[in-house]
Amino acid sequence: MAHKAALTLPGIMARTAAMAGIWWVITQGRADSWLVGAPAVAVATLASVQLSAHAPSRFSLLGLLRFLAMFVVESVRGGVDVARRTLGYRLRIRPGFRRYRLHLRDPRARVLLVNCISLLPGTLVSNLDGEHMEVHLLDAGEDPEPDLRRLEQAVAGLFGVQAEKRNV
Amino acid sequence: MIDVLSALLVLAGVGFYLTGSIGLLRLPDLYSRLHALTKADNLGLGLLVAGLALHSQELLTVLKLLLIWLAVLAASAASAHLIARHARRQETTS
Repeated sequence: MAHKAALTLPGIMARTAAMAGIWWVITQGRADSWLVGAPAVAVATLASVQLSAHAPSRFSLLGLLRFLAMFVVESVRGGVDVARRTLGYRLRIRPGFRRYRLHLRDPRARVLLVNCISLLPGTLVSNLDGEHMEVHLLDAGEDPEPDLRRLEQAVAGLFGVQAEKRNV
Repeated sequence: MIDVLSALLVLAGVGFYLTGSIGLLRLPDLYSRLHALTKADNLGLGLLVAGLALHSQELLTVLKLLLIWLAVLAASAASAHLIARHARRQETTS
């Protein structure tokens, strides 16, 4: 569950560095922009700390790489799939809804999962209530459950958390 | 060679944007239309960004393009979810 923990000094410094990095990229490294940039970075860091005071998780680099690879592959599959279904002479869709149990407990992992599900071919999260999510399917004849589980595993690996085992 | 590859990527990206718009017009209901928009636009912008990054080859510009892609992804995924959720709640409560 989400237990609040005071953010450590290294944690705050890491966030400040990240925000400064973003500003540096946005302004293409212009030195005179820091007059505006320094306050903006300070405010952004403050907001980020205020909004998420969770304990830092064990962030896994291998998990990140695995997640990114999956993200790219699924983006291409999702885009091609939707093109295939909509560009034909006849639309190849059979829309419908289905409910699935969420196996992730970490709230940040859940947010990322829900946002990424819209990238999988033919799935879109239409509602969330507690432990369940309702997914809209472009083709209700196909079961996306294995894809959803793989994505859940990848997101869990990214945050270094465990997706709980199935106990339905 | 790199110019050709970058042009191909940009063209492919535009193609997927077109697909997203065609889907928006052809698909019958709100949810299906959201599918077309989120997926085709994500891939379209991704290809566009890849093509432009290859063309510029300047580290800061490439990073900026990636940042733009991430920001658009986050915004489009979140707004698609919010639109779907709102529509669904109205459907089920009314």
